[in-house]
Amino acid sequence: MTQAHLTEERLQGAADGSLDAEQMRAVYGHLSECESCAAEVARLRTVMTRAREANTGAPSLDDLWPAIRSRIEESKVVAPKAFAGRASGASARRPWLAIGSTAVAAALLIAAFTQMQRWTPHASEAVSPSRDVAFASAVDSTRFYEDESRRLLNDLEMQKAMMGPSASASLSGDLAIIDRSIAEQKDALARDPHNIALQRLLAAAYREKVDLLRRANNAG
Amino acid sequence: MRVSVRVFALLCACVVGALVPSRAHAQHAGATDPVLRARALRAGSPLKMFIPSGTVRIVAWDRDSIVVRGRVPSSGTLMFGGRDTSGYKLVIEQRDGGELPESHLLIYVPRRSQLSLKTADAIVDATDVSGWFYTVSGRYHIDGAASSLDVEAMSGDIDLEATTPFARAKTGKGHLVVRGTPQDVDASTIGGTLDIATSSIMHGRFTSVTGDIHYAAAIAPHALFELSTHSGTIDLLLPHDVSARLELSTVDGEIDNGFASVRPAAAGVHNLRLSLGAASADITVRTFKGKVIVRSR
Ligand SMILES: [Zn+2]
Repeated sequence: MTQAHLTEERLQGAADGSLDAEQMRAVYGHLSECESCAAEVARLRTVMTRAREANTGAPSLDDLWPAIRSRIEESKVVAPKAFAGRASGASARRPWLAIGSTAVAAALLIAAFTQMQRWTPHASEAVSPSRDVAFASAVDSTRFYEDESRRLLNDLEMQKAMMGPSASASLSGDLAIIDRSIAEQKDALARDPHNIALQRLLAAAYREKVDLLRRANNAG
Repeated sequence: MRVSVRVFALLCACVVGALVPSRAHAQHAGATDPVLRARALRAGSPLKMFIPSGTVRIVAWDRDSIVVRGRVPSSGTLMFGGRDTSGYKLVIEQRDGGELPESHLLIYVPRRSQLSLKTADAIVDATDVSGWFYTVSGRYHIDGAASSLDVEAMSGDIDLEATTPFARAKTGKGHLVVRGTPQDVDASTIGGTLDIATSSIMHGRFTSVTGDIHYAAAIAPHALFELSTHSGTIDLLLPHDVSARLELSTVDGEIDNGFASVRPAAAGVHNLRLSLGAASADITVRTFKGKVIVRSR
């Protein structure tokens, strides 16, 4: 460590990835040897990540969870023991989720289990005494994923521009497949508005759309 | 101090490298490839990697070090940095205007490392690792033991063969295979085929839009599954003595019931309820216009 520490400008550049490849090589070389600069870059990254997260305005699934949970308990659609611990413990059990943008993944895990719990087969379509609640829950779920997919679509064109042409074409193809399935299901639902299986399929289709758009977000 | 750790790690790499057989074919990096990096790495440290293209073999070992062997073409540069508290980062950086660097790497990481690996089209084979794995159009095969696995592909193939309490896997038109011994599984494709061939799953959600879903395994007692597609076929191949309650529904498709000798608990044109054996597991199948097939082995 005979060389001087990184300048403020280099530290910032390393944290936000704005350095060119040549600079980046030199900076990484120093960071792999110098704990103090590496710590400073890590600190800057944390600050930047927080700033970015604060700007997204995304509804936090952590915030949604209590309401969803109480709805499940109210409805007695399922015994909440099976997934509840995991859903709330998901981020605690996975320290790796704490780094960078993977907080989104944590939210997704929670969402996945939330939905899983909500959709357990105990909520039998044919015989459940709380059919109305189960139906309302499926409608809620559809609405949530529909809103979320609309929000994510705002960034789609920029994401496509950042991907390679073949990845972008593949994304467009997959989106078209999901949108066709959503259109068919909405048509059918218009003719049979109380079909709970259909409502759940629609929620699942929107969820797939949200998942796809989030995966696309990571491609750039 | 740092130097002695490196030498130690190098020695470990030589010893373990000789013991661990490489399943890879010729182009994959092996234990005889040069060591590109060797560093102390505390077990449990987060490790973020971006390896755009080529082949990657990741193996967890019982050492507090990371050793990277292999080859990186001149179009790329390997960068590695970080620290225990904030985590480490390993990146194959593309040189300006160059090709996507196709590197061939064999990476040893401490057991219990929490990985976050992203690739564009690399072929990855990993054992005993946990974390988040992402690819645009590459392939993942993951086996061994993991605390959790989250694998995402835009269009690539995923083959999960691990023992893990939690696995989540998603792809577009890729082929998704779930085997090994996972407990809780959330797996989905858009157009790709989803194959499930393990009887260890306790909670499973399997979804596809137009792809087919094949489940061919016994069902664990008290398991809870949900399978759904828009137009893909859902095919359940079960042992003849399976113990499960099946709830099958289709909006505009058909149901092919291979357990014809069992009188359905409820049956309509578009739905069927079956109680098989002691009916301890609960399986819900839902499709818009796909075909549902239930048959016994
Ligand atoms: Zn420094």
